[in-house]
Amino acid sequence: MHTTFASQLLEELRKTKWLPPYRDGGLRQVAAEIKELLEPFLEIMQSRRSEIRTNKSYAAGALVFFRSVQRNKRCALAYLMNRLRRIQQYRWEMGACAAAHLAENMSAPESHFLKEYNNLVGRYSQTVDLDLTADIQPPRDLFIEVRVRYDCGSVVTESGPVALKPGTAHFLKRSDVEHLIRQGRLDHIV
Amino acid sequence: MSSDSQHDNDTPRFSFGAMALSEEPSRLARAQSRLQNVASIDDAPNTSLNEAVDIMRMLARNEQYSPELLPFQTQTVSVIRSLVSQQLDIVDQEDELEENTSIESQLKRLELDRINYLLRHYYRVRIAKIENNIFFISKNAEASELLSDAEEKYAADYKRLIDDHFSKSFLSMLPQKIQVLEVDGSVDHAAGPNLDRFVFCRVRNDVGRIALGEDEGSDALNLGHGDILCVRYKGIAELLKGEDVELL
Repeated sequence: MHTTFASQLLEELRKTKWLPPYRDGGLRQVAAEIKELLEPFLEIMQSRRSEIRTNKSYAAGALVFFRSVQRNKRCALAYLMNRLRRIQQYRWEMGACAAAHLAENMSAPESHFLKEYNNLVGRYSQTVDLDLTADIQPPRDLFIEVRVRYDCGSVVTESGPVALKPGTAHFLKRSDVEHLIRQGRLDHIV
Repeated sequence: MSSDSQHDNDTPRFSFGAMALSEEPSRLARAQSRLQNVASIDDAPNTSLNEAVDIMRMLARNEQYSPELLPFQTQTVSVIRSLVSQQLDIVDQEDELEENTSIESQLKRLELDRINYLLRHYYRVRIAKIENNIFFISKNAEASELLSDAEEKYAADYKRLIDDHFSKSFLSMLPQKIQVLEVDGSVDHAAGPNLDRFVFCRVRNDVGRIALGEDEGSDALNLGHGDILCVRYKGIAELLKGEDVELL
């Protein structure tokens, strides 16, 4: 059936919550199918142009092929767009460096997109003079108690650097360690 | 606050945005008319932060729940920004006077953080909307008038990124003729937001009888102050722009 490959791509995306590996081969198959479908369409359009208005079977045939081409294209673009949305979402939720963990499942253009997108968000944050990725939730306290899960090196606070060793607990300014909490390296003790 | 007595009555005092949580629409309306009067806010900085925050909160909520992009509120945002930085200066000055940072200044800083959160939230909601409707916005001159200058630049850059990505990843594999993106026969990739979505809204001013349905014969509703409705967005879009209703 037409467009099977394309719907498979979307199906795979729908079944996963995480970013699945990029299917370059799948997209190539879809593109090949589009070319295949265009041939009979163009043939009808060229050799039977005069008959299309009078003979409905030619018009219907051309339509079927053309619609399949459109559907293929649409599915492929939806696949790409939804992947980009997921990448963007990770960027917002976990910060620039955490999003780099996705690298192995991304294609080269997607990595490029992420890099440019980082710049874009950074530039916009600078223009409005607020770090837009901070404070995803409304802040509750100025200082919070955190327990270290994984070694995070040291963070620089107003009162000097603090070494975050695994297993230790600290009482720190929220804005200094917020990104580490979102990455799961610190636990927020409520 | 104990330290209030140290100030003269003239010096701007810190005002708490959270105390303005009570949501009386009448207060909001009053606040708004005052805000318009004090466009150059320097005259009365200590009274207007609460009110500006009330308005900002309402605007952020409207933006969050409306399916379409609303005009960027340049004036309110800049008023809030200047008030916040003023208040931050005041807190900094107070901190320098005292040796230890007191609980009071911590509360003030937290409050300022929360107001900044409100601003961030507003910017973020708008950015998310721009990203989701990027094709629609870049095609409609009308829609791009709603953006601030910075947002316009963001939208243009983002559009370029997406186009670039699409053509590199997929469209370049196709024959030249069908590489176009926006309109594809009967399929419009640049469809706008769904204006038929249902939204909750509260009426702020008495508007009288208004037909909210799109058909000619649909029932008119009498909208009084304080009424809460769940209607299609299309019906109240105009009222929202006139600030006669707010979204919830």
